Amino acid sequence: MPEFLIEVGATMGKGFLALLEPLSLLFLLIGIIIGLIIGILPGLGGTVTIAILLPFTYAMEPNAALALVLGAFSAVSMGGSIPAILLNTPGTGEQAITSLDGYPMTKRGEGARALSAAAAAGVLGTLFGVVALTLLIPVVRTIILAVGAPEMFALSLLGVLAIGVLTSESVTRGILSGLLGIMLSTIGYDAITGALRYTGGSLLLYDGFSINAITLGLFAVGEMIYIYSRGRSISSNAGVSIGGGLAAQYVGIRKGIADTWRYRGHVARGGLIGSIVGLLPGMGGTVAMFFSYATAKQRSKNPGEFGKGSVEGVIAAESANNAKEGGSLIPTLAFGIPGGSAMAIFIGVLYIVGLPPGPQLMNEHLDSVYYMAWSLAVAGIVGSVLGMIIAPYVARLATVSPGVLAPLLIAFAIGGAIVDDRLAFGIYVVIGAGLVGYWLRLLKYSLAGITLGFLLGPVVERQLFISLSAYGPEFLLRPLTLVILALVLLLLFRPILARLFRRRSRVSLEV
Amino acid sequence: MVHPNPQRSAVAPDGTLLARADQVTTGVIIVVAVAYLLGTLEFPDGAGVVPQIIGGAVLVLAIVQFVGPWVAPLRRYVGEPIDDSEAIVFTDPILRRRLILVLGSLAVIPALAFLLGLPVALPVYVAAFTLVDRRPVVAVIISTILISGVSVGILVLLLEMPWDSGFIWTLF
Repeated sequence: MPEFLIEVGATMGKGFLALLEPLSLLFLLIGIIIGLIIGILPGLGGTVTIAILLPFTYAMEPNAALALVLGAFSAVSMGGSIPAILLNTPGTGEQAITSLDGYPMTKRGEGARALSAAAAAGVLGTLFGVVALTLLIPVVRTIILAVGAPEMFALSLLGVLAIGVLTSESVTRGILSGLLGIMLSTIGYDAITGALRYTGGSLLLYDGFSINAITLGLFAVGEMIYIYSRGRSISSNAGVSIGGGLAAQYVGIRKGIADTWRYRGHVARGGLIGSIVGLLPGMGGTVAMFFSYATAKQRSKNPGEFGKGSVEGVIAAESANNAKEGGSLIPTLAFGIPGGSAMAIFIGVLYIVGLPPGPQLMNEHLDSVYYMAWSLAVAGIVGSVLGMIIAPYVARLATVSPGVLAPLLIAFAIGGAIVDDRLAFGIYVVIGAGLVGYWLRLLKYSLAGITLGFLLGPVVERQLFISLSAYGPEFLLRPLTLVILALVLLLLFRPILARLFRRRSRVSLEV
Repeated sequence: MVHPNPQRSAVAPDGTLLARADQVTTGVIIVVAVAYLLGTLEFPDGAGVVPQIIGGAVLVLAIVQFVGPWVAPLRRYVGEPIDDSEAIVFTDPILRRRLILVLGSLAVIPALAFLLGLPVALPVYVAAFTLVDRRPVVAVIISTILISGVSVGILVLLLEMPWDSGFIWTLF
């Protein structure tokens, strides 16, 4: 056991030393700044951030690419809390819960206090999530030893269907989203049989569609069409003030930090809730923040203050929101099952940098896993401090018109779409994916499901091929595979089960 | 252009537009799934297994989605009808004009890339879009400089992306 601990400690140290390399630190800082800026822009969250950064990772050294993406991903929540608190315009949709109390505090002249409380709670929440990630890695590694091709096939299928179902309002639309993504992934050269599929004789489709073009189209272009056509999601509130002069702001910042310590119980509970929710695929930050907020209100001595400018509400929401990032990395890295939409695209980054998620990553590249954990932790701390310092100056970005934002991001997406295969064909793919993404978004399909289906489609196919070759159809009867497939069925029959539970609880209530 | 507030729009959202659009989309998915399944007939042994499974599942689910609104036991699977408030982009004249503008701009990009080459086309696109949207001159200049920096600085100089020079430049 001590030897095992020494090995884990050494690998953690190796991961930390890799982060201390100047190139990694530089890209981590660049990522944090990008994350803060994108987080501040309303309507754009972690998912769009990773989608936008995806093309750059092709030309980068793996550690630098991971630092850039994770730095940005970690800083997005701090960036999002700035307009949520100062302008009542949540940078990311889920941070509407932060606005509930943050904005009334700003109106009372306590913007600095609310921001510093959000930042301090965010730092502690991030650390909570990263500690959960670090502690669970050895446990997950043990589990992974029991995972073979049949289980990987079932897990990949579960991941694709779960993210689809949990991020869509309807079961059929959710599953269809995932399956449509897998369908897209089958276009091109089949690595197993060497056959060309659905290419229509075109050489352009020989390698299938590019991950960049599909992801940037579905998320960035689709989102921009949506935001521009609605003409809103941009704050018209230009009154950015964190309250009082410099001295008053300093007092406010100190108060916010003191508040976070005073309500450390809320931070701990929020951190725990966030880490657990992050582990569950497709649950997202809103659920974590809501649970944490509701629990804090229940336990507070002043529950009546919640929603009217209670610092406890800000602390509870932000600690949970930040803790979920660390939690969501566990299923993503270990099994390729993303905790949310952003993690679905992050899987694409892992493939690009040559670290595909799954047993191989956890066994052979554990130092990279710890490197990612350290990146999240450091980015969480630096992002929160930096965010608090620049908040009053950059919050005005939230008032940027969609008329400026849309062409910029569309142009950026078009440039990024052709980075990987360097073909002008990518321009048509990204535009097509953008139109499809916008349309399917209106019809409540899961874009994250499509993306993950597209990314994991080849994995599903390869693992099915290996399983059938090695075990025949009996591979479905392996105990762990059966358990995972039972989870898939549970997911599919969720509406019937929910109805049964509702009926039973109604009957017991009547009794 | 003044940013409209959809909440104050005088035009009420069309109550059935997106529900009909949903049905049409599901119909398209059914056709695609059938074509996808037919495509597997040409594949050599083994290459069609996964496409047949996935295509079959998509076909069944799309049919369920299509008939779901009329069959009571399926309704809980297909979910609630689509939120019609989103249909306002098709019924409100101001929002519809914005939608047409942004969609039209997407169609212009490949043409610009063909004529000018992508490194020039992207800044031209951003400048043209912001000008048509009547953004302040400062915003037009800053956003054009920003995208020029990305287009030339990062894509051309840093990543050394190869570009077609554009049809117009070949005339000189």
